[in-house]
Amino acid sequence: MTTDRPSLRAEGVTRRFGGAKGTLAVDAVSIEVRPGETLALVGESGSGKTTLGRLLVGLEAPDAGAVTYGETALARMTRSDLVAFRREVQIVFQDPYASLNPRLTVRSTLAEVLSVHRIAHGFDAEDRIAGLLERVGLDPASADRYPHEFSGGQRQRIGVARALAVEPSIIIADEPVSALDVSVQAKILALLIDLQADLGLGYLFISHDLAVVRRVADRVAVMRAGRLVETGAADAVYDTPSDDYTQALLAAVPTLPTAT
Amino acid sequence: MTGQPLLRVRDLAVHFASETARVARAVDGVSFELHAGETLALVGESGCGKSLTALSLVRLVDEPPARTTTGSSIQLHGEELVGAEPARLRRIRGGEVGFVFQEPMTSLNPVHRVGRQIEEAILAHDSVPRATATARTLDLLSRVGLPEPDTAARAYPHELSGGMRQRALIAMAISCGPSVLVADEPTTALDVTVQAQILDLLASLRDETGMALLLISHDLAVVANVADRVAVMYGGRIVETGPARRVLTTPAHPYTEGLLRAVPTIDDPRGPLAVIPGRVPSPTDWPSGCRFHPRCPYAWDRCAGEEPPLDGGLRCWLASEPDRRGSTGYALVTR
Repeated sequence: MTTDRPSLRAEGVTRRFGGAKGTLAVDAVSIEVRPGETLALVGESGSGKTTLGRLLVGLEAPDAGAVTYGETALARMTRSDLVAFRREVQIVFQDPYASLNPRLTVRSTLAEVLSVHRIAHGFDAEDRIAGLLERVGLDPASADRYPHEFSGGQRQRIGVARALAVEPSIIIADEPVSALDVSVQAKILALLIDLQADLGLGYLFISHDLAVVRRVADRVAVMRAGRLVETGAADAVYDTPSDDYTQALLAAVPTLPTAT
Repeated sequence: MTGQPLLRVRDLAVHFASETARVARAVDGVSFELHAGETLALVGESGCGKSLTALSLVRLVDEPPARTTTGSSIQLHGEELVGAEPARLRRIRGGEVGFVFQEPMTSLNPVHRVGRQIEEAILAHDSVPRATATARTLDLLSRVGLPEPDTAARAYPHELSGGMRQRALIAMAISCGPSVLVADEPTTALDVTVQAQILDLLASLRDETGMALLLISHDLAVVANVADRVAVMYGGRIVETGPARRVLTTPAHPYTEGLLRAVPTIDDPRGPLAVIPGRVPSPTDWPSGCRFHPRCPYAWDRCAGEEPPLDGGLRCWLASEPDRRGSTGYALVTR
């Protein structure tokens, strides 16, 4: 089910902030996010990974290069192409509390998405909402509660449900578990892995946590100061990193002692 | 460890009372000792009481609404701090007990130069001429590894990187030669390469000065590399404590075990992750018996009825009935 769906690609994408002499946040980066696969984008703060994620969903426009979905560049999409694109490519943020409207119940948040994208209304929407909540491991009976009434992990589940509502094929997940406690983090990772297996989703998993990335990634792209310094299959990047910076990053990861 | 501990905490309980809600027993009977030159890590997830324990040592939490209960005792060099005069505690804060917090940007005043802030900290505790304080500031900034102490001293906090700000904050925390340095998630906001440097710095300052380090962290791998001893907190209580290596390699408490097995590790990408069911309860409603029992895969009726004591570093009935651990454990997720 995954092979015939298109990839999301950045081709030589550049984004500069602060005018012509400003910072090159993303500098001629090319990557491909494929359905059914997880590409992890790792790097330290300021490396440009979040900006690249925003470029890929069209929240930022590149100064040079192009973001394409299937055959079409985002910049050349018609209005109806863009509407379709926004159903196919969704984003999940680090802090679900900041990205959920605090004055809307979960039901209203999801109903709005379903209605804007003309997926479902009324009773039909009710069924969908219950199904979505169940899918992300929340009690459908909690649909009438507000974001503040949920724990951090549950809020992230709501963020995932909102992304899933439009039945996307690709999700950009920007530090989706970084704000969560360890025991909660494992559950959200499990959910994401599960959804990928069931729905054939492609993930761009943006993270600074190399241990978490090791767990979820098929391929890894390492960014530093706006540039891609290394890309490859996860095992290859972790076991035999070719770039000095990748080696330094991996060496710095604290590890737990092993029983002897 | 031999001799008198620097810091002896006995039955520390910090409760929050309000007119509308039930009393929140956020820290509830915590005891530990800290000796010169050693590092104790308090670990646990959000809401376990680890930060509040550290802040309460020198009453850095507003009372009210917080209340350190009368049975609590905090002794620093044998001096009782519970009930101590506010003026005395002010001398101790930043003096004998230094603090480093997670986010250096919020711990530094954005409108004053970094050097000036460290100078003020010195002058607040020591009656030395300003010139002496200035010289000491530059010396401190170079001791914490800032390559150009003059430049760093003249900088405003926003002009420094996160790692440099954290170094500056450490300089301030050790400016009066504390015997205890409390570091509350000191590297959580930092990049992984910077994190390693800051941990090294804390360890080498500890070794140089012989101060004790109380490290608060949610990150077990960070703790593993610095701590001599670990105390795992859950539900406002210490549930397991012992030498870091022992606790982190052969955890005895089911919660410690769950935490360790829930962390993805870089060496074992395909190993299953444990899922700790449920969520941390509210401090207004700790469960009966063992506070972890509703989430524990090994719990039996005794655990709900009766709370185990902290005995031999373990607060768990499995200590007396190890066979109960059996073959079932946490649900696992694999990829």
